[in-house]
Amino acid sequence: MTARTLKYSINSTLINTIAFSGIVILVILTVFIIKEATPALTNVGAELFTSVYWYPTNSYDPEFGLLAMLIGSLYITGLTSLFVLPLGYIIAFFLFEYASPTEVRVIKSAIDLLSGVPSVIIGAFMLVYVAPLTFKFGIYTPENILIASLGLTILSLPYTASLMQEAMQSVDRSLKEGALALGSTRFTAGFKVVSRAAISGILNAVILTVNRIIGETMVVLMVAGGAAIIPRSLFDPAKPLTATIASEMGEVAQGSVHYSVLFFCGLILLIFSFLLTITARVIITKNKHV
Amino acid sequence: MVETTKEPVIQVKDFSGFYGEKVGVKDITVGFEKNKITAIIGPSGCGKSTLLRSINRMNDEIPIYKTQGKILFEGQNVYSKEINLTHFRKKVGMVFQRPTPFPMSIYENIAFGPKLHGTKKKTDLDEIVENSLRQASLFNEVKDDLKKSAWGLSGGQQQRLCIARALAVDPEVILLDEPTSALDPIATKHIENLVEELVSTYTIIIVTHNLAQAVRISDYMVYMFQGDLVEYGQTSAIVKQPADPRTEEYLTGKVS
Ligand SMILES: Nc1ncnc2c1ncn2[C@@H]1O[C@H](COP(=O)(O)OP(=O)(O)O)[C@@H](O)[C@H]1O
Ligand SMILES: [Mg+2]
Repeated sequence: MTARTLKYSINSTLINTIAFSGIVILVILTVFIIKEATPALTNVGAELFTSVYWYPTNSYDPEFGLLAMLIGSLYITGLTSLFVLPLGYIIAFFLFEYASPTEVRVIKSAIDLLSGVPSVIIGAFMLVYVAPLTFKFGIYTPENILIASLGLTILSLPYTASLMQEAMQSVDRSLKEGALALGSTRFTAGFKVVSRAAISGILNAVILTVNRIIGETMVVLMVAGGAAIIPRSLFDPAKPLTATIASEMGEVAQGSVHYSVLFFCGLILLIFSFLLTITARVIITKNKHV
Repeated sequence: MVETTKEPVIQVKDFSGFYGEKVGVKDITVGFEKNKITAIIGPSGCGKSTLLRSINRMNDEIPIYKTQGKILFEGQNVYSKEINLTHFRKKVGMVFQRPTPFPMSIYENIAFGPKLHGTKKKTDLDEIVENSLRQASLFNEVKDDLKKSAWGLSGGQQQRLCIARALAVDPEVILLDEPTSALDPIATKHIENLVEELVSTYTIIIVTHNLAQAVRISDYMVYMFQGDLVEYGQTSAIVKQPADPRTEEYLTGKVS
C-alpha cells in the first residue's frame, strides 16, 4: 500500500465514520424524544390537542392543552412567511435581473452581514426599539404576534433571498437570453422563464424558510408575549411551542407529566420539520424534468 | 467586395466591440443580403459570436461589453436610443449554440413569442404554432405531444423547436450561433436542410465553426481572424480563390 492509497483509505474511513455517527446521533435523538414524549400521550391524551388551557404547574388540577401554543406557532409562522417569502423573491429577482454587478456585490455583502446577526440581538432590537412603538397605535401589549413576525422576517429574509437568488442564478443563462431574443422584457424573461426553470430551487427555499421560522426560538421567546391564549388578531400575544420548551424546560421536574408534555411539543416540531423536508425532496425530484 | 445593387438588410458600419479593455471585434464593415445565407467563419475566439450577438444587442447582457460604430437595420441604427428592443428583436430572431427550450410545453414554447407581441386568440395561436412547427419540419414528430414538456425532446428536435419558436414571431432575419455544434450528424443535416429551405423567406446569418457546413449552405461568407473581418464575398468565389493569405490558410486547414 503506497502512502497515497493509505491516506485515501484513512480519509474515506474518516468521512464514512463521521457521516455514520451523524445518522446514529439523529436516530438516538429521535428515539429519545419519542420515549420522553410518550407518557404525555398516555397520561394526558387527546386533551393535548383539544384543550386551550395551559396550567402545567397547577398542583390541584393541572391542564396540558397545547392548542393555543400550536395555533400560536402556526399563526406566527404563517404571518412571517407572508412577509418574508414575497419580499425574499422580490430581492432575489431584483438582484438577478436588474442590479448592476456593483449593486449585487454591495447588496450581497449586506445580506451576508445581516444573516450573521445573532437572533438574540434581533430580539433585543425589536424589544427595545420597535415594540414600544405599538403603544402609539393603541395596541395593548408591545409584545405580540406582529412584532414577533417582524423580528423573524428580519432574521430569515437574508436566508430566503440568497437561497432564491442562487436558485435563479443556477438556471442556464441561455434560457434567459432565449426569452430576450424573442423580444421579451427582462421582467418577463425573469418571471415567466427563469423563475419557472428555477421553480424547484425556489420552492425548496420556501420550505427551508418555513422550516426555519417554525423552529426559531429566541425572537419569539423575547417578543411574542408568552401568553398561552388563542390569538384573535395579530396584535395579541402568543406562546409558540419553541418558546414554551425554552422557558419551561429548565424548571420542570424530570419525569413529571409536564416534562413529558414539553418533549411532546418537541416531537410536534420534529414532525413538522420532517414533513417539510420530505415535501422539499418530493418537489425537487418531481421537477427534475419540468 | 462584392457589389450588389440591393440595399443589405443589415449593414454593419465601422463597428467595434470591447469586453472591458479587451477587443472582441474591431472596425467591422459588412452588409448582410436579403434572402441569402451568410456564414461567419473563422477560428475559435476570433469574434464570430461577438459580431452576431452585437446585431440583436444580445451582448448588452454582458455588463462590461461596450460598442463603437453602427449597425443599421432597415436604415435605423440598432444602438440608437430610439430603438424599441422588443419590436426590433421580433424582427431579428436568434437561435443559440445549445438548444434553449423553455421549461414549458411544446405548444407554450412556440406560443410564448406571439403572446408577448399581443396575439391572444386561441385559434390564432393554434394556427401559428402549427405553421411554425411545420416550417421547422417538426410538426409531424410532435403533433400528438404538443402538451408535453419541451425538455423531453431530443437535442435535434429541441433545436428545431427553437427555430420554430423564432419563426413564430414572424421575423425578417434569423441569427444562428453554431446551431449544430451540439448535435449529431443526422440532426445536423436536418438543420442544414431546414436553413436552406427557410432562406427563401428569411435572411439568414449563421456562425459556424464547421467550414464544410459553411461551404455547403452559404451564399456569402465572412472570414474573421482575431477580431478583424479579413474577407467577405460570395462563398463560391472565396472557396475558389481567397484574396487574403489568412483566409487561404484557414481554408486549407492550417488554422482551425
Ligand atoms: N463575456 C466575455 N468577457 C470577456 N471576453 C469575452 C467574452 N466573450 C468573448 N470574449 C472574448 O472575445 C473574443 C471573441 O470571442 P467570441 O466572439 O466568443 O469568439 P468566437 O465566437 O469566434 O469563438 C475572444 O477573445 C473571447 O475571449
Ligand atoms: Mg462563438
